[in-house]
Amino acid sequence: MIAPFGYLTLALAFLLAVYGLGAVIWGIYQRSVPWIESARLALVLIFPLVTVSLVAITVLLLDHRFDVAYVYSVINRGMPAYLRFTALWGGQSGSLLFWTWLMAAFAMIFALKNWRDSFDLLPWSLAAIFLLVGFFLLLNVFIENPFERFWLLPDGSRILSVFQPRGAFPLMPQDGMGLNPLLRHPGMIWHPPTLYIGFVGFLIPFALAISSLATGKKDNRWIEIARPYVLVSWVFLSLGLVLGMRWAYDILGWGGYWGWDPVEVVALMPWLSATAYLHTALLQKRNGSFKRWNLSLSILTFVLVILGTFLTRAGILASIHAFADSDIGVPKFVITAIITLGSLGLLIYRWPELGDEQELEFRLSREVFTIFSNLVLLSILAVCFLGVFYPIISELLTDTLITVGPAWYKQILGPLFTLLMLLLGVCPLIAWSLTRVSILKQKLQIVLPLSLLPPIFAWLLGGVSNLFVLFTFWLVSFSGLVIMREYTRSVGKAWNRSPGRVGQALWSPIQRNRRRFGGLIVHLGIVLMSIGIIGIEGLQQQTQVTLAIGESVSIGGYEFTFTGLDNYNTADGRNVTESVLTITQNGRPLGALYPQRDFYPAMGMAITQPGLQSNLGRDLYAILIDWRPVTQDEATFRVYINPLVNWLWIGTGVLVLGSIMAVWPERVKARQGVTGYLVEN
Amino acid sequence: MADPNFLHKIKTGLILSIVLLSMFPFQAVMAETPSDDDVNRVASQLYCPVCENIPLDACPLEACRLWRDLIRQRLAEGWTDREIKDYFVAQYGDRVLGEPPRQGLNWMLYILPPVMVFGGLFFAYAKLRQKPEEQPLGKEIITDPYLEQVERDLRNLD
Repeated sequence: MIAPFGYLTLALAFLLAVYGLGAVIWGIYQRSVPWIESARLALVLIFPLVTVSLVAITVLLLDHRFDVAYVYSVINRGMPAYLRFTALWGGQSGSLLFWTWLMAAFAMIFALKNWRDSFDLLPWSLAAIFLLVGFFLLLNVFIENPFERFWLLPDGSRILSVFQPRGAFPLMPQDGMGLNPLLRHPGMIWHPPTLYIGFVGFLIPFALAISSLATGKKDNRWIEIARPYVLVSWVFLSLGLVLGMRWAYDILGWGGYWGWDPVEVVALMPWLSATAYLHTALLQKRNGSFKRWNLSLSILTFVLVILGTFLTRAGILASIHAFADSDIGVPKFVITAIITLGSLGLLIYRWPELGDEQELEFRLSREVFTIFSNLVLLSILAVCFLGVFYPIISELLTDTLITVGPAWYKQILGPLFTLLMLLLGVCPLIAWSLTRVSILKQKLQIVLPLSLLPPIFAWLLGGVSNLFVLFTFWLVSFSGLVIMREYTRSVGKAWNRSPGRVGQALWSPIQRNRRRFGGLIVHLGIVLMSIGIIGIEGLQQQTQVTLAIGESVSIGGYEFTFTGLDNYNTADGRNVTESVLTITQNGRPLGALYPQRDFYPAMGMAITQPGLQSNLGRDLYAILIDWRPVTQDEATFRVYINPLVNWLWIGTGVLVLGSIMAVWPERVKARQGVTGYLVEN
Repeated sequence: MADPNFLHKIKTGLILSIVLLSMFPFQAVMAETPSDDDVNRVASQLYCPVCENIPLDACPLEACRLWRDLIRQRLAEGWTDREIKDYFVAQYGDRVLGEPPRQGLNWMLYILPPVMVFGGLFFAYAKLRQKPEEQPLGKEIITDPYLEQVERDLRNLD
């Protein structure tokens, strides 16, 4: 009964979306508040209905209900409960349902907002949300249905159906196929949900931008309403991307964290446009400039999200992420085309009315630097776009298959990321409107000489001789010191106001200006992440060697000795080969690494689990490549020294902290009077 | 009298032979024992011809292990990295290269990014410079007589 019940609630949610879309369009046409209010309530109701469906499929997964085709395809009896739960987003239809559920959750939060002072923006926002939520529900109800079950017909043939066909018998396989071994990792708990929240949340800013265009409003209210959604989505997307890096680092076994795989790049693209938007939205709030730009960026971000899901799920991109290819390519292409062309049409229609209130001038001001940072971010986005689409273009035009790999991305994007880091460092030093060069020089007096110390230490004490690495070390030191300078100056002022209160002096600048310091802490997080990236990209050392028991290899001042190899079976059906590499540094024992290879006989797949030992300075990382099977007295290892890589993860934590600080609601303002939709129109 | 050209040719040939022979022992030792790191150096620049976007040095497939063995064998035979890469391209096409070769339509990948970046920066610069009357940085044009008096008094104070 659970499967049909889950399907019926999903179908009901779809019908509500269809009703809501009709009601809101009719309400707009008739200028009828009751119809719009009815549509708003329908949107609120969709979330509990989809939640019931989600709970239903989760129960089926946890209960080993292999008669349900989705359950059969993604779990087996050997999988622990947490993996059976995460299998919800491990296959196409389940992940689509999860995506729809998140979308419905954001839509419900949006619909429950107090709309008294911005009711005019509600109807068209609802229309855009209903269109998209309805589309994803349609996919789940008619194409990727997670509740279909196996049935045996009297003629011996098998059929998939939610409801029992006449004369058919239920089929209950003894065991399922199980999740792709690459997905059997604790990273599966956090990476997909955070990434999905990040993607889906951009629906609301998109809907608000569409509403602002459709109603012809020229004020900044849509930016203000969209702000928390953009920030929450941005931080979840950032977190999702970094969790994906960590997962890759832990399981893909190449000693890296980002392989410029097309699906990785496609996920990075909306992050880049959203980051650009976050900065220019500030300009619009300050002086009414960049209206067209912000509307375009908000729309572009969501279009990139939908385009990304289309490219990934339609199997168009060749990727190691292609776990969930299916035949939803055509409808996804249609919706991508509809929202892209529709938004573009609206933008063109309203373009002449959206002039800036205040033209910007070319001078030494934060505004100009923000524009240039924006351009660099969008250039990176354009390069990513080219890298993702070029193989498709090449195949279409010249029939030549091409791989655009990390070497190309690093070559093209290296200078752009460097420039971005420089701008990140300089921007906080530049005041809004205008900065005198003399003041800038004064601000640099202490920061500039101090910023030279880390690269000099790295050169003299750390033996780093690569000039580009030393230059990037200087850049991150400079950017970090500028942020620290801004904070310590504010702490100094707070101290002067109330001397003797250390805690208050440290906290009050942040408390008084959460948005500004939240932003600076986010930048500090990016600086710390950059340290990790420079460490692993510029200073990584590696070697591959075959060792007999008792033999050693030395690298980066560490000695790794092969001391044992074991092979055993686990309760969850894996055959594990685990090796032991003991580590010493100048004769001092530093413990051991346990790189292993897990073989999944049922799927014929092997997964590499690296041995890892971390501290703030470096990771010692080893992979078991091969071994002599019977005697187990010889094995091949690939050993890496990854300097500073942990700052990548620490920086992410700081970035999240800064984002929470920036998005934390300020004191609620007094309610303004009602500006109703009917009054406005 | 021997032909001077002939003598010159003999001399050149001898020198070349000596140079080549002096390199031979080193070449032979290098060629016989390519290390795993040598193999990975080449393999990391190639992509698995049968999988999705996985570099050959990191690919766990048996087929990829055999391709790595092939690289080892070629290195032992004295092939250069370039020759091995060309061999893989000839066998499996351009897709085995991580960095698309600079030829034909691929030039788009190398020309478009700088054009886009500099074009964007120039466009932004031109747009911002469109303002007709630029004021000198940091100097306000004072039209208020009271402010002018204050400015004069301040200058007199200096």
